[in-house]
Amino acid sequence: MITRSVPPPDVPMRPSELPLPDATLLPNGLRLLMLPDTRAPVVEFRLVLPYAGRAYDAPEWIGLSGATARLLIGGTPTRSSFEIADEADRCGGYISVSANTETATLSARCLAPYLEPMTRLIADVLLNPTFPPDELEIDRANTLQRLRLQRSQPAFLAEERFRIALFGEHPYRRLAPDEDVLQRWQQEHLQAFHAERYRPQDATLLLVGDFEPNAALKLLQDALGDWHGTAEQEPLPAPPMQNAETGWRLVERPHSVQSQIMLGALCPPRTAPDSLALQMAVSILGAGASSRLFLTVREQYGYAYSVGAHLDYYLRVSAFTAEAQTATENTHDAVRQICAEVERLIHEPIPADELDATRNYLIGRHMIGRLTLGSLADLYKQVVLYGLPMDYWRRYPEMLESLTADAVQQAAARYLQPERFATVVVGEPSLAG
Amino acid sequence: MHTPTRIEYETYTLPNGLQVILSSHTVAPTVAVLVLYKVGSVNEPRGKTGFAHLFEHMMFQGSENVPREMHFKYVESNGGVLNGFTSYDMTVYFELLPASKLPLGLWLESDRMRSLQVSQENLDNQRAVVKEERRLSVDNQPYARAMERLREIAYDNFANQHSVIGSMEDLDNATLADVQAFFRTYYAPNNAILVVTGDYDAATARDWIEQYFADIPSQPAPPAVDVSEPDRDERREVFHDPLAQVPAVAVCWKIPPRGTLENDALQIAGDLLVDGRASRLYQRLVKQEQIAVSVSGGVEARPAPSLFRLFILHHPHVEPAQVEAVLYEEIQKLADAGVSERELERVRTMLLAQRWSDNLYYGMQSPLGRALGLAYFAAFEGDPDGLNRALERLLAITPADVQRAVQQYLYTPRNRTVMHIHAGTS
Repeated sequence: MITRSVPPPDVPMRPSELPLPDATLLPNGLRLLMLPDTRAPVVEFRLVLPYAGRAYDAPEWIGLSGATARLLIGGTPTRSSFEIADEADRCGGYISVSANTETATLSARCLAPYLEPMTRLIADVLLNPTFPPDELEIDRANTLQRLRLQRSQPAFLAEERFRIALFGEHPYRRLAPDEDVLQRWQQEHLQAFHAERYRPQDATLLLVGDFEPNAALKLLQDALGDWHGTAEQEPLPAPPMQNAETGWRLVERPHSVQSQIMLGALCPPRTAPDSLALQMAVSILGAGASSRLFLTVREQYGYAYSVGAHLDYYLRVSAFTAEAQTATENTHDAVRQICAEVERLIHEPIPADELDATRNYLIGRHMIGRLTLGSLADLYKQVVLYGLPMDYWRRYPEMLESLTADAVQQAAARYLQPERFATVVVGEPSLAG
Repeated sequence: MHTPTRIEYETYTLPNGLQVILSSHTVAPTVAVLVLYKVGSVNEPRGKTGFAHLFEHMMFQGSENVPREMHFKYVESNGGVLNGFTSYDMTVYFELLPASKLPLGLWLESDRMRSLQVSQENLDNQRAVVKEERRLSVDNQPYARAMERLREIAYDNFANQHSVIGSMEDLDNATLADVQAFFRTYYAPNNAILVVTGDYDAATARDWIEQYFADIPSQPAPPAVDVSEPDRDERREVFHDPLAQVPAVAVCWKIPPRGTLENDALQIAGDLLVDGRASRLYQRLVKQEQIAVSVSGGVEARPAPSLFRLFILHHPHVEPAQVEAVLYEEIQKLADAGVSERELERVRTMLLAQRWSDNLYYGMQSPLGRALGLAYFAAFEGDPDGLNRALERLLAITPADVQRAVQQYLYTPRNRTVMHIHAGTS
C-alpha cells in the first residue's frame, strides 16, 4: 500500500549540462555564435545590433529606429515586401525586426532544409533594404492607428508613464514614436539611420538548431562577409541608478473598471555583484504562485487575478517592477499591501525553506527555458544583450546555490525601499493622490 | 519534404475508466503531467455561466492530503511550473517538472481527483479573483466585450453562446453545493484523460499511475450536451466600445466541427486569407486598398460547430461597409477561382513549421505541447493518434476541397454575423 499523506520520493533523473556555442569573429567585425542541436528540424536566428535601438535616435527623430526596423522587410532591389514575406513563409519561418530600448534585434527561424534560402533572405534585408516610399506611407498611417490602439490599453499606458518616472530625460524613457516626427520622416532618413547603425562591428549573430556547423559557417561567411560599416559607435552614457520621479502618478483613463498598477525603482544591472541576490529577493516577493505577493494580494485578499514582481534588465541598469490589476475601489489598499510585503522582505530574516523553494523555482524555470530551440536561443541572446559571460547560464544553478539569506535580504534593503519607488496607476480620474 | 515526424505514444485504460497516454521525449530531463477533464463552459446551464472556470480555480484550493496553497508550493519549490485552463469544451491541468519529480506530479493530480476539499471562504476568495480576471481580460480591454457579444449573437444554442469567463451576476450566485455537485459529476476518472510526456521510465510511470489513480471510483457518465446549431440568416449589430480608439469590423460564420473535411479545408482557407503578410486579405486591405491597419482571424476549431472569424482594424475615415465589400470580394475570388497548388504549397510548409513551434503549450518541441495534443485528440476524436492524422489530413487538402468549402460556408450571408465596432461612446 502506498502512503498518500506525504509526497512521494524522487525517481532517478539523468544529468544535463547546458552546451556552449562556438564563437567565430568574421573579418568585418560580426561575431557568430553557433550552437548545433538536432532536437527539432528547425534553425533559430538571433541578431543583436547594439547601437540601433530607440535610445540611439537623435532627439529630434524619436521613433526613427522603430520605423527603420519595421521597414527593413519593406523591400530590397531584388525583392518586394510581398516576396520577402512569401519567401519567409516558404522557408517555414519568419523574420521579425524590432527596435528595443537599447538594441535593435532581428529574430528569424526556418525549417532546417531551408537554411540556405533563409540565410540569403536575411542577408538581403539586412544589407540592402530600400525603404520604398509607398511602404513608408503605409507604415506611417498604420503606426499612427496602432499608437491610438496602444493608448487604449492600460498596460501600455502604465509602461509609458512608468518609464518617464524611472528615466526622466535619459533616452531610455522612450517607448513610442513622437507623433509629429512620425509625420516627417522620409526614405532618406531611414536610409541614413540604417547606414549608420546597422553595422557588423560589435553585432552578434546567434544560430541555434539543426545545422551542420562547417557548412553553416561557410554559408554565413558568404552571405554576410560583404556587410560593412564605417564610423565607430559610442555607447550612450548609462542612466542614473535612481528614479527621476518617486511617489504616486495617476494616468487618467475614463471608463476604467479596474486600475493598472505598476510600481518600482531603478536597480543595478545584471553584471553587478549583487544582481543575483536582488533577483532572488524580487522572486521571493513576486515570482510565481507561491510568492508573497501572490499569496497575500491574490489568495488572501482576492484583490487581483494577476500580481507579481520582476526585474527588467538593460545593459547598464535594471528596473524593479511590481504589477497588479485591481478593482478601482481596492487600488489604494492593493498598493499598500504590495509595499507592506516589500517592507517585510527588507526587515524580516528570510526563512531557509523559502530561500530553498525560490531557488528551486528559479532553477526549474531556467531548465524549462532550455526546452525548445527558440528559448535556448533566447537564453544566449540575453548573454549578448546584458554583457554576461558565455557560461553564465551553465553556472546559474550553482551561483544561486551559493546565495545566503543574509545577502538576499541585504540586496532588498539596498534597492527596494518603498521611498525609492514611483507608483504609476492607470484608471479612474478619481484615484488622484 | 511533406512527411511530418510522428509523435509516438502508448495508451491504456484503467478499470475505473481513466484513459492513460504515455509519450516519451528525451531531449531534456523534464516531464509533463497533464489531466484533461471533458467539461467546459458548454456544460453550464443558464444562470451558471463561468462556473466551469471558477471550478478550475477551486482545484488549486486543497484536497485531502494537499492543504490550500500547497499545490502551488509543492510544484514550484521543486522546480516546476503549473497551470490550468478552461475552454468551451474542456478543462486542463498540468505540471511541467524536473524528471525526478514525476511521482510528485501524479500524487498531486490524483489527490485532487479523488478528494477535493473546498470551503465557503476559499470559494468567496476565488470568486473575487475570477472577477478581477474578468475585469482584466474583458471589461477593461478594448474590443473584448464586443467579442463576447459577437459570440452571443453568432450562436443560437446557449451551450455555445456564452463566454467561458461568464457573467458577474452568475459568478455571484455560485454556491458550495454547486462546487460539490460539479466535482462529483464531471471530475470522475472515466471523464478524464491522464497524459505523461517527457523523459521518464515507462514501467515506473505505469506503476505510480496504478498506485495513485486505480482506486478512484468511477461515476455515472455525465449528461450529454446538445451543442448542435440550426442554420439561420445573417445577423448584424453595431457595437459602441468606449475603450476602443480605432474602429473595427468583425465577421464570423458558423461552420462544421473540427475533425471534418470542411473544417480542415476552412482552416487552410483561413491561412490563405489572413495568416501573415503574404496572406490575401493583408495584401488587399492593408497594402493595396490601404483601408485596414491589421487583419486577423481564421478557424476557431472546436469539437462542436465552430466559427470562422475575421477581425479587421480599419482607418477611421473608412466606412465599415467598404471594408466588408472588399472582404467579400476576396472571398468570392477564392470561391470562383480557387487556389493554385503553388499558393497552397506555401500554406503546407507553414503548417509543418507550426508543428515545431517553440510555444510551450502547443508546439511539439515542448513535452506540454505533446501532452495537450494527445489529450485533445483522445478526448474529442477518440484516439490520440488524431494528433498525427490531423496534420496529415491538412497536408492532403486539395485546391478543390478549399474552393468547395469556401463556396459552401463563407461565400454566403447564411450563418454569417457582422459587427461594426465604433470607437468611443455613441
